Amino acid sequence: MISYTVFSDQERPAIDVLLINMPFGPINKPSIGLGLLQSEIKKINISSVILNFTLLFGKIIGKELYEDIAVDQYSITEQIGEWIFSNELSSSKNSMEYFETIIFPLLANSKEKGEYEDRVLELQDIRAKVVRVRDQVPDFINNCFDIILKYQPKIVGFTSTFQQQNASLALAKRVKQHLPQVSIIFGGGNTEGCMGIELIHQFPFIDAVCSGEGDIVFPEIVRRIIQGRSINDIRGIYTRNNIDFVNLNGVIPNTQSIQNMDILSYPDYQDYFLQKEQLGQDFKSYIPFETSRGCWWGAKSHCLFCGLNKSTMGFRSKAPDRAIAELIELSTYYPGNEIAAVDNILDMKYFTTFIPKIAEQNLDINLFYEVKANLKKEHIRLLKNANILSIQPGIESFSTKILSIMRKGIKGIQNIQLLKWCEEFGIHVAWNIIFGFPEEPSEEYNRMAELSSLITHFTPPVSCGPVRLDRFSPLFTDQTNIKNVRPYPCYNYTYPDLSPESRANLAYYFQFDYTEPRDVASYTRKLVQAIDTWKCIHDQSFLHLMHNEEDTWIFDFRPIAIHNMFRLTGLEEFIYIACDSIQSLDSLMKLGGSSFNDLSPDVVYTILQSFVNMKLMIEEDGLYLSLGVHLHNDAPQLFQYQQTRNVLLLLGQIPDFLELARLKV
Amino acid sequence: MTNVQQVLVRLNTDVIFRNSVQQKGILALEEYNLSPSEVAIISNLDLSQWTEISANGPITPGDAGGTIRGIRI
Repeated sequence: MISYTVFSDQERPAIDVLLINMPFGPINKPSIGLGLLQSEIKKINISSVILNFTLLFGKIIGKELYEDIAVDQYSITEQIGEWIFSNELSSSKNSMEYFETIIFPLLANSKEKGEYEDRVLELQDIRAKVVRVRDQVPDFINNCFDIILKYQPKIVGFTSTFQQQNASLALAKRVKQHLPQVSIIFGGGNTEGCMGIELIHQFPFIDAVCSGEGDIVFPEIVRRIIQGRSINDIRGIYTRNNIDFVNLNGVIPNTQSIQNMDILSYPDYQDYFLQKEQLGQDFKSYIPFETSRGCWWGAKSHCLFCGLNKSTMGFRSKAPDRAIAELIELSTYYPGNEIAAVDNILDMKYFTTFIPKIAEQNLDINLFYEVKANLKKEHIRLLKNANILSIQPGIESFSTKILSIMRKGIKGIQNIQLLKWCEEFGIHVAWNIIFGFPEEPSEEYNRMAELSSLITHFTPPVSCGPVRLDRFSPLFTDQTNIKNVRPYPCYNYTYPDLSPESRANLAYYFQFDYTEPRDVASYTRKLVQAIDTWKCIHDQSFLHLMHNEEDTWIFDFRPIAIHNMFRLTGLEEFIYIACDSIQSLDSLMKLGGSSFNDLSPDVVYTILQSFVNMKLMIEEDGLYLSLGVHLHNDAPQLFQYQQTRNVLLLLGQIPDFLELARLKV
Repeated sequence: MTNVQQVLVRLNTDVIFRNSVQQKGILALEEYNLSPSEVAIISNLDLSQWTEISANGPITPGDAGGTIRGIRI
């Protein structure tokens, strides 16, 4: 066994509270939840340490393998990280049946013989590695417990989100066995609602769970426990003494949520960076940063697949000055790390307050935010100026009909517009395509496949896969047009000793059947193939616009290009540039103003159609969008394009759009 | 597309061809039957300042859905 004693190389002063961050929480960032709780209890003079056993386990098994287990493809509906720790909670040792039943059937997705054989080898390799990791768990838990012992804590709090449940349970069980006087408290996403109640029912070594936000209640819980007082009457805190009053099928109240975000402390990440240094880990870390909670869009229209709980949906954001002060503090205190906002959605008001202020500060940062996809070009420019260089918009589809079913409140063409502007401004965009919604029109997927071949010069999706049924999502709670909702089979192996009812109460991911059967794999096949192609050719796909005083040139180096380069002047130049943002024929005519007075809309329509026919523009229900990406003055490609243009001008071989399109205007 | 236009498209997209023109000069352009004035103008291009091209090789119209040199799609 590799033993790392850096956390416990000397006797420690007794600590009131230990806050534990277990595998397989993210290794490359501290927990913002624990960082906030530590700061809150510091205000009432409670001593605490955050133990990032994520870092320790990552050191033991290797960071790459750790992250494979924590975030890669078997981390969600296969819960491979939870299986690794399940032995510690089970009376019978887990078997390889998990692989036979949960992992290897995934091979059915590999159609081609060569691909199938490669995948078999890959899965065998994964199995061997994962079994080796599992075999290290007992020593790891011993190691963690030894470290905890040195602090002589009164309270041990665990944050349990995604695949942190079984590792947290395993260590909590050990702590309670040997230190029965210590209060064990669980919080985090895995303890919300009936999941938390079920934890109390099934795991007697847990004294309390926190359902909902912990910022307000945690200092009160700690104070009362230290004073020997009951916590049974605190709303959203569940113990063995009060769960009998909760109806599992009814409403399970959450804790009181923060309404004024400005009263929150700054999160404390010192322990994470200290422990990372002590363990000799020098990988890049991210600093979690929070400016809001809830979702302003979800409060208006909860997206069908979104697992955000309604009780925490209400949108609350920090005052811009407060947010700026915190950002400066975090970037100064933990320099050289990228900053990732944990917000569910960026506050649109920030575009006139917080974001311009970041730009004024000229901070050496690289920020990430999740955003709604209906941003305007000016918004993207502001993001760029503020060094918000990575965003995750909720794109999900290019079909307006399917987006409507999802309750996204956006058109497909708007999603494509956003991808184009991100390309123009060099904003990294991470997004996904989700399919398989009940009642979705299957023919939309062939249309999306064709559309994908036109936009290979934009960033491809990270993933393209079926909708997942998450607890708290409207699809889960309403179960409209679906039936037979049941937990994913992986939970049989992650909680092998529990009854099916208990597993269903603890699970977050569910399977379902459609009320009206539909062959999703069949009707989405072309789209999935088109996305694979897109990923392969993206690096070699370009569709650029170069502006000069007297003309605009298009350089089209997409595989689907009909003509690779040509010049636009006059009316067609005006129309193409105007359609940088979505336009209808009517809006174009208005935009043309008096210069369009003598122009028939038919002429404009003909030019628009010629752009569409040449795959330079897309049309959706009478709305048009140019696909060319404007090159800014500092674009490196401008030099070669200018040289290309000069050669053709000198030789009188100008490829003219109207001639190529065979148009007479 | 004229021969000159074809040459310019390849210079913009085909790293092997661009390298060849940089190394061999007009010899690399032989297959295009360019006139002396066309060769002279193209020879004056400062290709060293052009942006790098993906090492995966060129793409040409018609490649989508088929095979791009060097990668399976």
